[in-house]
Amino acid sequence: MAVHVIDDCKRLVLIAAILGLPAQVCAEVQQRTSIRGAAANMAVMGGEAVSSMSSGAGLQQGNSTQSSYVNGVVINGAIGPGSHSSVSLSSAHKVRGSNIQLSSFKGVLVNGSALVAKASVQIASVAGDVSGSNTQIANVSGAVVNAAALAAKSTVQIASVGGNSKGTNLQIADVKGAVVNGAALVAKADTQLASVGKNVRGANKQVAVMRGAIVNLAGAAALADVRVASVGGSVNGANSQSAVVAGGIVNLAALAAKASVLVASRPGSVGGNAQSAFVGGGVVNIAAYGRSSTVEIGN
Amino acid sequence: MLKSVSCAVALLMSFAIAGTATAEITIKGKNDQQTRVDGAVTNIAIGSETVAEQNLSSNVGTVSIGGDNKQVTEIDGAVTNIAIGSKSKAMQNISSNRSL
Repeated sequence: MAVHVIDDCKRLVLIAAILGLPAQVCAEVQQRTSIRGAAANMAVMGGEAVSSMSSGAGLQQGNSTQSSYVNGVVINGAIGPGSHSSVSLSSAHKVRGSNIQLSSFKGVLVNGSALVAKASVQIASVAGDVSGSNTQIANVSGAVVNAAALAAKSTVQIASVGGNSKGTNLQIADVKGAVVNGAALVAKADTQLASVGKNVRGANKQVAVMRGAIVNLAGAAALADVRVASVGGSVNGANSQSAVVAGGIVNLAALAAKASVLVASRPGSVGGNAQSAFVGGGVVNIAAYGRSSTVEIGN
Repeated sequence: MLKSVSCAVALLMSFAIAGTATAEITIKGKNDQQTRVDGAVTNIAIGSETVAEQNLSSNVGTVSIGGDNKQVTEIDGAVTNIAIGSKSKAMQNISSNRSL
């Protein structure tokens, strides 16, 4: 078999090594996980529980396909002081080039953490920036429950990009069932479906179809944030956000808290953009003690 | 139709079990890592500051991939990875690349 090393790739590996980037993927990469049954990962009384399935760390450049097919139960938890628990299904840290993250999940995913903890679930998502021609697709039916406690932060990302999206990118989330996201006391709860956390430039599309409930909580002094087919920052280019919500989004928060729900929306500046939203069912948004509550649909 | 566990995977798993998970991994050619589990794989570490590490078709270390790379895991059953004890860590990697 011929060895397949691209010269540009060698240079990029070198640059990444100089910059101290942890991992480099620079070629045709395929990662596939198929589970029929259960996967459990726990640190009891301990620090960290990290479960990665078809996922990569660092910067991925080139062509990669990360897919996961789960029919069953995934349990991940860390119980103890300073604990941190995370589950990644078909997810990446940062991508450039032509990458696909694909996940089909049927069943139950439970992610935990307690005390000064952080809990995160990523399904077909990229935590950081995306550039090139990239696609994130997630089909989730069943329940995704994510929690955290005390001074904690809990995040659920489904077919989403945490950072900036530049190029021709597509995020599609099809969710049937319940996504319950938690947090408590000085906590923050984020749920993102087919969304981009920061700015978008190029021809990007965010599409979300939701049948069922997203319940997003928080606690004392907390922030609760739900984004469905939405962009956190500015939008520049031929972009569109489309969302069909047939069922309920309940978003809460308490005491000194802030609750916000964005459906097919972007709060920042716009250049060439279309939003469409259909909501058949209820969006309930609650906050408490004089703090702000926001709902934006198709804005 | 996965029949074999590649030598690379077997090697990584043994390193993980031995606790020497500081490998620098450079893949320059075509690489194929496949694992099939029919039944159960269980990994448990008990004690203070222990690490339970479970790697299936995965690369752990300073990972550089410059060739075609395929990582496939099929599980029919259960995989369990548990660490019990204060400051313990449970790391589970399935068809993944993880940098230290």
